[in-house]
Amino acid sequence: MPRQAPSALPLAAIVVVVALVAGSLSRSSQLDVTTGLVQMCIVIGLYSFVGVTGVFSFGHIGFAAVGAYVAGVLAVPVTQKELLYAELPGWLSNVELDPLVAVLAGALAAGVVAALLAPAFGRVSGLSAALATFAMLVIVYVIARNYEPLTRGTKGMLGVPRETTLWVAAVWAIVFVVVVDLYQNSRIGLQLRAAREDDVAAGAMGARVGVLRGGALILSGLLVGLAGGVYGQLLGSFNPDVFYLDLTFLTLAMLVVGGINSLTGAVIGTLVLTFLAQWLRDLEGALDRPGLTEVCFAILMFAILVLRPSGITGGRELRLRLPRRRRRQETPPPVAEVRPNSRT
Amino acid sequence: MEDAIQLLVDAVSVGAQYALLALGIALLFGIMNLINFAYGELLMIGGYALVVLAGMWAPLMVLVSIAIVVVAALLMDRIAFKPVRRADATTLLVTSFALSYLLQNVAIMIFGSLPETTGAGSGLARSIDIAGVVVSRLDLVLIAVAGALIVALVLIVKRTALGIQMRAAAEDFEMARLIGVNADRIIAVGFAMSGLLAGVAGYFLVAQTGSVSPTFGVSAVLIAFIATIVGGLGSLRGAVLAGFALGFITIAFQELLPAGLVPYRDAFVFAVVLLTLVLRPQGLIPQTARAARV
Repeated sequence: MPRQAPSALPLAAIVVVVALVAGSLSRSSQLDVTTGLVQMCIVIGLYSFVGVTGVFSFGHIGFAAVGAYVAGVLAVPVTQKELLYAELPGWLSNVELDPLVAVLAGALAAGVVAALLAPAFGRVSGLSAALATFAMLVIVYVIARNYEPLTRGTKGMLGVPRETTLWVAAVWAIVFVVVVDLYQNSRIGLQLRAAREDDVAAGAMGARVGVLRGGALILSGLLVGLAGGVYGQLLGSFNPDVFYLDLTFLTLAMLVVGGINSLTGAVIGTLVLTFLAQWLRDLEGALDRPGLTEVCFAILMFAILVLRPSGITGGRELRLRLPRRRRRQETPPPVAEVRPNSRT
Repeated sequence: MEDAIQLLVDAVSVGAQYALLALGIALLFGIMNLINFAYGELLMIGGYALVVLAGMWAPLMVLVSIAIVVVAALLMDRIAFKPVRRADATTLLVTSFALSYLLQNVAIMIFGSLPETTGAGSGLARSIDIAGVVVSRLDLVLIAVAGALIVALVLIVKRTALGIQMRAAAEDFEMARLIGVNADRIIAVGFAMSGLLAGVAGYFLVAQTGSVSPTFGVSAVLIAFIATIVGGLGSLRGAVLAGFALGFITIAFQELLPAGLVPYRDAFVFAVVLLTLVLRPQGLIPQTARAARV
């Protein structure tokens, strides 16, 4: 395996530049960029499953919900709990964790949920797996709506400390980029990506595809759960609908537009849609047509799927080119070679 | 005894509705490997058609609304799915997800996000008393219409030349084309049938709830997904059976779950789905033609 220049470096640099530029903007623009960076974490977490294994998921926002609720309820100050969460079980109503610890606990909870589901993904693949993840999303949503002692149901979580600033979000985005880049180039990551291209061949070469995919689900569950906790601490108050179909669509659109098979795609897609959203929201306000932004995103996603199914990045990673290594440059994964006009 | 019969009628009526929904999904999956998220938006289009057409003579209104849904389904095929027809199943799934989201938001742009109420189907709301069992006319009409549609569909698929071509396309699409099956036509027929089922199911859904919103079709399409997965993706017989089974399970959960757990009914139903996928990944009635070939 020839050493590659890591793509984490240029991607982290992009995140830093975005945060620096945003820091000089107005408060509301800063908030939008912060939201974009937190969503980038979710999309990177989603990529660590969908992109690396090739199994599609509509359910990862369920992990984000678990992370957000658990991190939220653990971090709400005890004084507010008496008022807002009177029905909490005793031991929970006396807990007030540091927000960062609470986020990690939320990630762990989402990881546990993913671990419960992992065996299923050792057995099903392709479409059935995608639909199973959808079933998971619905289960989490129904529980969040109805388990009022903990989640306050449709009234929504309140009083979650707002700890996620621009730089907190940027640091998390960098951590995610680094972790997922290391993961996808690790031995396990390479086996999974081999199985993505051809699971029978990968299995024949000794990759235990089912077990590895289960593991990938757990890792992505942890990551998305963590991002969910961070998102919850950005919003401060949220209800189950925040973590349902809208966010599922938005994050999927970001991943598809950027390019589903590369980490660079996850980062670029999020940035492109975040900036487009700025512009479209203004237009939507001017024309008084709510839903316009979503319609444009859906059309963009559709155009990408038809004209360039591998996304803006075409499955390639952004790499620093070190001249002396050029000779040994690896060929990009086969997906990158599918040209739009060869699919007639 | 009366209670039991009443529950049975409920279960059959819910099951018939689910079977209609599931058939619309399973039909297209059989032909072109498409799980159509946007099927729910066909229901929604039917619902809004009824809102817009309010005031027309009821039977005509229902027919026109169904016709509109069929046309919408055909347009869906031409505009959205034809360009990606050769892509893999997952891309098709994502495309249909994007399309579903697109149509929901177009509905928001036109009608706003609040539900529109409609009196369509209120003529069927009265209940009738048969030997001590109170049944709503809506349930009876639903069961009769769904039964007739399912039988008609089975006859078309099993007996007619068109049906044979459809089954051939479902078995092996490329091979079917090689021996002269017109792919465009078969897929268009599939979409039209799917639209017909959606139009009918949408009407009954409106008659039950009395209102339409942009997300009107979402929960219905979830049910349809479950039934098609549990029934074995692409198997029409499986979809119908699973639709009825789901109707019974839903009513049973409603009756048997302790009161505190009833709000979680859907969570339990979806847990059953997850479990089915783990224990029998090919569904209850596997499609032999779809077994993995290496």
